Amino acid sequence: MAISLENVSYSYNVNDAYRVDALKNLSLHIEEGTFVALVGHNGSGKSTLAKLLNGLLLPTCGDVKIFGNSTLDVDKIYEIRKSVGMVFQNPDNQMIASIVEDDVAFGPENLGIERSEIERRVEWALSKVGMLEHRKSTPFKMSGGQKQRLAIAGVLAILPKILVLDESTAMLDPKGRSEVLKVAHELNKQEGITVVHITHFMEEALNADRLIVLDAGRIAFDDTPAEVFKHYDELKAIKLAVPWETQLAISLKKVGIDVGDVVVKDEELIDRLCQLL
Amino acid sequence: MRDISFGQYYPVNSFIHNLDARVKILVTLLFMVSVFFIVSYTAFAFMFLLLTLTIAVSRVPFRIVAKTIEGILFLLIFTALINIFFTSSGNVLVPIRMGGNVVLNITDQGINFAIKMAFRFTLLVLGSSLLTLTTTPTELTDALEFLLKPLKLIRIPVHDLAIIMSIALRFIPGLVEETDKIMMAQKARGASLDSGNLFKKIKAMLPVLIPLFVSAFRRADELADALDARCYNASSTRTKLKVFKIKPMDIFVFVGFAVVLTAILLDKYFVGKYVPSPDLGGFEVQGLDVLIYNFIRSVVEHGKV
Amino acid sequence: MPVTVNKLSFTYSAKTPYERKALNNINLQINEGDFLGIIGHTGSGKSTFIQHLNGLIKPQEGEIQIFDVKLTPDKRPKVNLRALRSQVGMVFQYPEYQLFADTVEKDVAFGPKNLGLSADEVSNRVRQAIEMVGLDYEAVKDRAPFELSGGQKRRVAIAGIIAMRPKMLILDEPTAGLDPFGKEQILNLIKYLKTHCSPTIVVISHDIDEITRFANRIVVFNDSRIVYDEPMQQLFKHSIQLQAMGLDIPRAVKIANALRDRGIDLGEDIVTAEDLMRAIAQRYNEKHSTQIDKEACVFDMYDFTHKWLTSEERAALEGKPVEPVEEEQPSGKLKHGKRKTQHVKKIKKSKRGKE
Repeated sequence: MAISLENVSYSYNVNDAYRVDALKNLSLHIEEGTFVALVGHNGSGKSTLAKLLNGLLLPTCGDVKIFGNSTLDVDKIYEIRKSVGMVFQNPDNQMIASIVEDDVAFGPENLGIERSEIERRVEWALSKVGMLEHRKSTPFKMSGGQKQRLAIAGVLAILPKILVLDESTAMLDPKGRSEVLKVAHELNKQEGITVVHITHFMEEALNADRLIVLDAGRIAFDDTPAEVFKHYDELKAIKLAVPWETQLAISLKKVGIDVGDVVVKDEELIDRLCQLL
Repeated sequence: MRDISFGQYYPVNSFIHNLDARVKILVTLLFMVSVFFIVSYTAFAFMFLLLTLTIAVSRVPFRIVAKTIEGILFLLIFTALINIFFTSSGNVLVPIRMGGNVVLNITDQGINFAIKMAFRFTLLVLGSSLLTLTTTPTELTDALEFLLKPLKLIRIPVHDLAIIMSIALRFIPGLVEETDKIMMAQKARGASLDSGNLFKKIKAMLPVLIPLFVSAFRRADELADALDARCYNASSTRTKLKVFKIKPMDIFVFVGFAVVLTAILLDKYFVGKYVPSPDLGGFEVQGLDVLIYNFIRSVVEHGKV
Repeated sequence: MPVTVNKLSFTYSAKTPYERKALNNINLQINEGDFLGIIGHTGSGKSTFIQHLNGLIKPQEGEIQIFDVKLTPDKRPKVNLRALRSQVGMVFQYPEYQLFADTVEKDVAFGPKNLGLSADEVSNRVRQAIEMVGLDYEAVKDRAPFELSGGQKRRVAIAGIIAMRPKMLILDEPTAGLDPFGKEQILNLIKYLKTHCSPTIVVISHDIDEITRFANRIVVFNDSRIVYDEPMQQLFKHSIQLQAMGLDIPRAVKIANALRDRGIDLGEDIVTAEDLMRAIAQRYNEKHSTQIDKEACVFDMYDFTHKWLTSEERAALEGKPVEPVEEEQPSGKLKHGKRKTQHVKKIKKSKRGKE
């Protein structure tokens, strides 16, 4: 099991009046190689969950295990951070060096890896995110999507088995979002990296193997995206929206045009419409 | 995006740009030390000549280098005025009276001090900004880390310091941009950020400074997470992607500069030698300085007449 | 005519290696009542352009007439920028990052105070602006902006601008970084402001599906020039060209285009989801001889009737000032409901008085 959470709770400000229970007795198991989308509105606890996965936060109750290693085990923390690569929300606040390749090298340098190996990893990581031609340039003038791909390369150089994207698409434009998502899916397919993609955009969950919906610190849904989208009314009730195509199908059905039960992709919708019209 | 200022890296390809950053730092240090030890106008003239030649070779336009002075113009004028008014040694050129009593004297010595101090500041700023204009921040921190290595022996965390500096340099453009944005946003709300006296100005800047601090802290927080996530401090034996290779040209440049600067420093034993003399405000000087001293005196005295 | 831009050009860092042309011979008129959408890549010049409209950047070439103020590259005559800025409200990207005061009330008051208004007028405007963005004045006025949620902070920031009662409102990426629900609230708020605060609105957005929800006219920037300036229904005839520039087209247009490729032509003027639904309904009616009412075609991503909405959230969604709600509320958030109704009435009255 790549990730397993057993009865995990997390509260901010545990001992005072401002106590916030972000996660409540949550259990979750993610198998190696899956692409998991974790969706919830702001304040649903999804970012807290992300930070628990590599020990940036430690659970108030319960246990978080990454490949069997508990984040509570102090000796294992770097082991865990090596296997969980985490990319954050703001593309501007993750870069350490001013030159692309220096930045990607930062992780392996910290691990004391040999120079020739670092070079190899930098090249591999940059080519995986399609940024190899930018290796000597500075990230300052790049687009948000490019910066986030670079941040992914930065964690890839540590050779993680799990990639956590903690709302990494939230500040990007639609183009940047699809760039990042594409890279994440490729890494999942080609390198077998387990991906946990945390987002508040339902349509980004379309191609995930598994969609987990969080609400108020609990798991509200946990199934394939198509199955979860069937509960569109309940999703709306927790401030989420189904993807546009699904919503269109639902709205059409309401007026009496049945384009199928749960449509999640453009092509499906167009095929069905062609048959009907 | 704003116009470049304060000595940000200026990307052209030149002999100076291609020098080893360590050599550039050492030469700049030598230069700065020399600036503090020279006393004669002759020596200053040589220093300016040396700097001008170096700037020319660096292919950074003089306009860009000179711009860095703007930032310290206030400091420059302030120290010059202090020197002019509060130096009591030397020949009194203009006594300043208040209610019949002489409270301050402007002396030839004071004017000379003021001019030399201004020269010193100018040389220091131009010299150091030439370093940052021709060296990328990464090269700079790597070189500093290398040069400070001996300090590890006395348990100074050189690597952490280097990381701190590298991050600081990396975030400067972002913070400048952010300051710009916040200023625009507050101006759009009718704020006037540059009117009134100093106190008023500081108060008027609060709407800019507070969001800027908040944002800096938020950045720091997120960056700390990013550092942790990338296994910062995971191993005591940190490696480096880039290693320095010293070229013969680097050694040549270093030795060359060292020789030239030493020669200029030695100037005070030849042309710029100071000998006590009642004629010239208690000091006697030689060479170029005699001319300049006399020139200043005659200008001030004629102006008085 | 609120804005006339004539041959405007602008270059950053001229004569340095960082030189970059941001605007190249821009000509544009913004009419009273326009709901103008501006699209274009990052770096296409659109941000530089709107900064000109507020006098934040001085024109280098060309001139701009904004209401009664004329901006030219000349140093004289001196322009009263404060007067200009009181007429043109500018909401920057992530405006919540510019909040600075220790209470919401003080922050919103910053703009009107800078206009030199009387204390009474300032507090009047502050109250009205906070309520207009769908927040409960009594509940939030003394709170620190930093305690609020992301969407609420953004609405406070917008309140800070509309408290200056601008005749024209410019918003740069107003929904960036918000979750879908927060986005929906802001979009509805903008629509509300159009009718109740600033009759002319300019919005920059990357999300074309968002822009098509309200714009009546779209201007496309590419490579520092304006390449298209068309009524919204007309723009997507250039779908191919827009996509070639790397710009998105609305999803409804994509579907309609795909259907057209497969021999089903639903007509030219489909832009929004509802346009698409109506066209589908019509075609379906023709083919299956059904009687589907085109008016019943509603695309509701959000249902505003959910119980979980707080009154202020519902107000923001519906684009109305907060009205007291009968149903029970947790934690006494609506204690001041009664008083609020009075304010709302007062505001409406004062509005009428102004007209």
